[in-house]
Amino acid sequence: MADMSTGEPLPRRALHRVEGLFDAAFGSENNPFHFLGALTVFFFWVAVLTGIYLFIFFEFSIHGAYHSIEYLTHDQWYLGGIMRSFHRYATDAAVITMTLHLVREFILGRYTGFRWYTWFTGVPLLWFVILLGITGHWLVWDKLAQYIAIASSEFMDWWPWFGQNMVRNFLTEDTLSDRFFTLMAFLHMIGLPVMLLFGIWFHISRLSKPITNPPRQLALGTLAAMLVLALIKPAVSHDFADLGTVPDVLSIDWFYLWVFPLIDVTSEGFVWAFLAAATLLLAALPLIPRKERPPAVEVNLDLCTGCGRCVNDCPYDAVSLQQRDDGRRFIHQAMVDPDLCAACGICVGACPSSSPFRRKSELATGIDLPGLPLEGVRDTAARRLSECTAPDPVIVYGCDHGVDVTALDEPGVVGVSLPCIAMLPPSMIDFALRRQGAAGILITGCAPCDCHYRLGNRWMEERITGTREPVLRLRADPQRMLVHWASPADAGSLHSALHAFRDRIRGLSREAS
Amino acid sequence: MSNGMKFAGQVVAYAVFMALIGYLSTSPAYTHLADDKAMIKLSFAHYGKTVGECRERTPEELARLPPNMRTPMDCPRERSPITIELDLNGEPVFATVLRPSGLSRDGMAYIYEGFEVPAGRHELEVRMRDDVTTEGFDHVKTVQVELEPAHLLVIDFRAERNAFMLSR
Repeated sequence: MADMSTGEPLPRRALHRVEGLFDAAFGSENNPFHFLGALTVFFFWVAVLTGIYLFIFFEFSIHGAYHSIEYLTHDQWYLGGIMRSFHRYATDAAVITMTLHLVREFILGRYTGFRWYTWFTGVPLLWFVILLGITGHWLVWDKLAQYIAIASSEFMDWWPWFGQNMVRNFLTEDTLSDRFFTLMAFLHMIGLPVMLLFGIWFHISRLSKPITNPPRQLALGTLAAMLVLALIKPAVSHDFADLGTVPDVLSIDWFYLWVFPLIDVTSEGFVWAFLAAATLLLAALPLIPRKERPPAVEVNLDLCTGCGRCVNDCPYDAVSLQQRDDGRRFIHQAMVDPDLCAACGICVGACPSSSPFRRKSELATGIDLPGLPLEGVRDTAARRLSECTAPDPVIVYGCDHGVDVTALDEPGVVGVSLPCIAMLPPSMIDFALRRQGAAGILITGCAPCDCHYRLGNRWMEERITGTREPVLRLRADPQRMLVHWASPADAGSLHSALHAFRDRIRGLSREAS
Repeated sequence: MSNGMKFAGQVVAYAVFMALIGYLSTSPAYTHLADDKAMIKLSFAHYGKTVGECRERTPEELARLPPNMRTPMDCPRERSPITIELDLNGEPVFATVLRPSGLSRDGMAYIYEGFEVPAGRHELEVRMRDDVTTEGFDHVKTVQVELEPAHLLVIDFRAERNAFMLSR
């Protein structure tokens, strides 16, 4: 069987292989890799809700804090203890999903071009989350908290303007003050969560219809698994902090506290430099030049009626409606922001004027891709069909980010790849079957819930099933169509689906003759 | 893949995810201080003596000053750097000169240093000179201490007592 994903870099191939395993177990609609950002937000809300419960019992004093947490952990283990474990493990889980989210988007190259803003605004979120975790550990005021308090104060005091003052708050019991502790509680419970929430808002503000909730099945499954972990291994404290001793052996939360052992084995200055360099590198990644960005879509006002379908379907809010200024009798006209445009072509597929059934020979649309006009797509399919000598030819429309359909090398199969499958207007399917001589149309693209342009396969499916404009006309024979989504690693399943589909088409042709 | 296999796959995935969280949330244990060690911290915030003497301003000098600044005494702001030394069992382990903070060198001098030492009995001597106009050390404290494993001994200088204080 042909491997149609071999042109991909190794990390991307490996990622698709791993995701393929999860697709098999969870289904693409519930594959956790497709919802890493949403899962991170979900864990944030779990931490917020459980944190509110802990806050009800929490005492804002050095001695009170420890004892109130101990009460929740041991005396009220059945609820307070579970809540504490959920609070702890949800934030740990958030670090995993957040890190995987970052790595996955990097491997898939989703950090540059029109995506620079989303990537860039994601970088501060890493530090907000880490700070939130560190301040949370601090509030327990056990030996681990003592270690964190002193180590983080030493870390801050590295800067000359702190004057080595902060750490002196934790020298002895006499210098310890409830006031400093209250400041930490404020930071953990209000300051950082609010900043994180704003940060998340900025992070997704350039996305249309952002997915901030994981599918219910995935959310419930994760909560159930977390409950099992909370019962098997409840989160507990170390002994009460004692400033007369040095914490020696610590059960450290490596998701958040790795920075402190790193300071111990290096130095404060080294770790500051490391963190600054890592942050700058991450933030600057979108500046690294990659392949030239395709030109943004262009509006053809002669054919634009200002219907707004392109606005509704754009995954990045790159198209908007503005008052008509060309004197035609429509209220609005579409306007494209080239900086935000991904050149995915989804708006082309949404435009009602993108119809190949026009009497004019040229296919002009209200909005089109200069680099790949819809007319060119139609003509490519027509040319390749005309070259096809095998009976019952099938057109496979795919996308540049799913299985490579142009590599489908067999007689009677014409593969046409688009930037995104939703660039294909449904009328092109009807046109291919009625006018171009195609015996069948196979639609493929990225795996469900994992569209490279976020919403392409969803919009395409809704257009074909008639729940989203522009809909596929009912006269298009559903027997001669097949929709089969497949990630690049799933070329085998596309091959199988194609062969079964061609058998069906041949059967239909025999019946017809 | 059958539904049973899918379910089993999901259970395995959740189990691995939670096992990773459960393990890394507490393990591997981190040894911050070896079990036969104790720690001494030398830390204080202290004003050195002013470097020069106050002098009385002449009437002409006072007349040249704005009315709200006509204080009769002119005192230098700069303070002495602080020399601090620590010996452990007769061996020098730390010595430095601390500069006063502030642009005019009129602020406190700070120190915060930690020393890991073997647990057990030790003789400590800490010396400080906070006045450059005099010779020798202005403050010296010698003490025998018994440090248990993980014990933290803090050497502080309390201005109100004008002496080194040890937390036990």
